[in-house]
Amino acid sequence: MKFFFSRKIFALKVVVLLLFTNNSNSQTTYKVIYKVEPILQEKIDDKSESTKQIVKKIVEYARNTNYVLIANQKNSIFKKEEQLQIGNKDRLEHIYIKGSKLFTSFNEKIYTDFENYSIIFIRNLLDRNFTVKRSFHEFNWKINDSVKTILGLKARNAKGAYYDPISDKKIEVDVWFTPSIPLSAGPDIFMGLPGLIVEIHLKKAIISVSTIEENIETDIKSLKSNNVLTQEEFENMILKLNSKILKDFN
Amino acid sequence: MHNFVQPTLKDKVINFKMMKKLLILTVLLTGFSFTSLDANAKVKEKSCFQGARELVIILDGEINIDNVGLVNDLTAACENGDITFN
Repeated sequence: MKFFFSRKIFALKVVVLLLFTNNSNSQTTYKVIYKVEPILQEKIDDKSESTKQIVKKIVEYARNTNYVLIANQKNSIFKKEEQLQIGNKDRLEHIYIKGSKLFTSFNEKIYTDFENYSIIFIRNLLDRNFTVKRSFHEFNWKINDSVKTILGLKARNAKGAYYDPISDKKIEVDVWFTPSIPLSAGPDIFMGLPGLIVEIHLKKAIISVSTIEENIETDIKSLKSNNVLTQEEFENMILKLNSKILKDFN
Repeated sequence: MHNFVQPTLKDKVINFKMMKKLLILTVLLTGFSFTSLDANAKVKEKSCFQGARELVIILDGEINIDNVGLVNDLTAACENGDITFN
């Protein structure tokens, strides 16, 4: 109960801060592009040349992948930016794309309803898409005094952590947000601060803003699916998949 | 009656040198064959599955349900001859 109450108070503080930061921006819709700088989890110096080449190719794909966030104060949608495709993708290209997604572990798409404190996301596991609806992740953000400039905007630092059911671990997150853009949005599940998240430091990647466009004319539509799982159902399914599949791989 | 000719000292030296060369050649060939066996053993050691698993751990740090699909895809591509890990 205390936990729930503190979460509500924090959400209220964010809303009040956003309202007082810049009221004229309340209906403004932004288009934000994020780029990815991958971080390898092991050194590759002692690996074979073939392995090094595949890793380099996957890193290159990750660096060339952009993510787009369309957001206003009511809702947002976040997904991988569509790229022009010339010809059919071959088998290896599919592998490089799949590999490049591991650095961020982002969902395929995520819709956020800021007014109802809920998200709907599509997660691809074992080549199957699952749609899940849940409340915001609980990051317990701690905003500190560190300040830096990103894309000419003054950004503040915050640290938080959340539980990831797929790795069954608590993941620590270090983010920079800019109060000058009054959105509590950010890439993927990362949100809930009094300003747009412009940079995230994760264990496997640094995700940072590359462009921000204001006054975008677009409708933000919710994700629709006939079979929407609750977070509890999703976590139970992950538990079952883990016990069935992973014993052969570890 | 056989007519045996006693080898001269020069012949003995030549024979000794030949034997020495043969011995060195035998030792070298034996050594080389062991090295080749070892190299083959190493190639066999890293299977397509092991190479795929190792690569995914470089990228993701562990194997979980988020990346087992990639382990399978990499293994299949390796077995198909599209890629190699050795």
